[in-house]
Amino acid sequence: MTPAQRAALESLVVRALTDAEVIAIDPLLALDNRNDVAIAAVLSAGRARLQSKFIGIGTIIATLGEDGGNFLDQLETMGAANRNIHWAMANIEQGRLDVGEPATRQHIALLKSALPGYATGLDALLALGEAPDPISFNAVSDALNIAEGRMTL
Amino acid sequence: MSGETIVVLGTPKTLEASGASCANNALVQANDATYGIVADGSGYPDASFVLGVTFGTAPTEGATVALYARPLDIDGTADAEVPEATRPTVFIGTFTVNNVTTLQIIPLDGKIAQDVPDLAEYYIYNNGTGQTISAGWTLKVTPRTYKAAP
Repeated sequence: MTPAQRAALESLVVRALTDAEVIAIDPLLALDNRNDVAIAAVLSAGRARLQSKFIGIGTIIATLGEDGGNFLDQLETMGAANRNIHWAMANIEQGRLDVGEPATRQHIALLKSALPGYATGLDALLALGEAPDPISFNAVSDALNIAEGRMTL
Repeated sequence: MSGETIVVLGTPKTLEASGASCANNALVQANDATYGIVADGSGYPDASFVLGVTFGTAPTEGATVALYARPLDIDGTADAEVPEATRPTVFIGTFTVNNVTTLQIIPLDGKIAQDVPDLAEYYIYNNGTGQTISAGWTLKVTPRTYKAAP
């Protein structure tokens, strides 16, 4: 991978490439057989964007399974002292808690420390507010073509 | 029977015998030769083009490689500008690719390019196939017209 190619890909994903990504992408950059579809797949792994997702009691129970009811009881107890949790429960009861909303996600993340036994379930709730955000192979092509000095339209 | 319209084919010309690799969304010139309808085509206004390509990794089925012409000597010896995204002159046609890694010989979609530029150099554009056209591709043109049967 040339410095220009690396800079182009890092500019595309707006971060530094990991060593594992460089190792995976290097063989895909052959001059005569550059595989932009595969490069895009490597860069897209784990990429996610936030999406609005309203949840309520049903979704919490469905996601946390057997622990769902107990988790809601814990929140109700905590809500007596923590007014943010108290009012969040109101949203939950109305099915209007948006787990894609950044501030809500921060509060859910804090709950992982307060309720470590529910950390896995809380991560599953956070995942509901995420959607895949793949890099298109055409964007990879455009970036690399410029970096490699290829003629483009 | 005489007088009916028949097709007349001219002498094929190779515009590129072994082209450089062409990455997805890149443009490469068929730089072995230009094509002039008078010098090469006996004045025939139309032409058929055939592209021979190989992909190291199978491209997206049904994606296309576009053919562009850059007219030459259009104002004395002045040439037209090189094709650009916002001004892709002159679009000639497309070649639809198969999702294979073996050599593909592809005629221009629609078969005939009508009223091709008087004199032009030609370019292929890898239009979102997703994969790189391997070095060694070929582009050939056959002049074409119609006349009345004798």
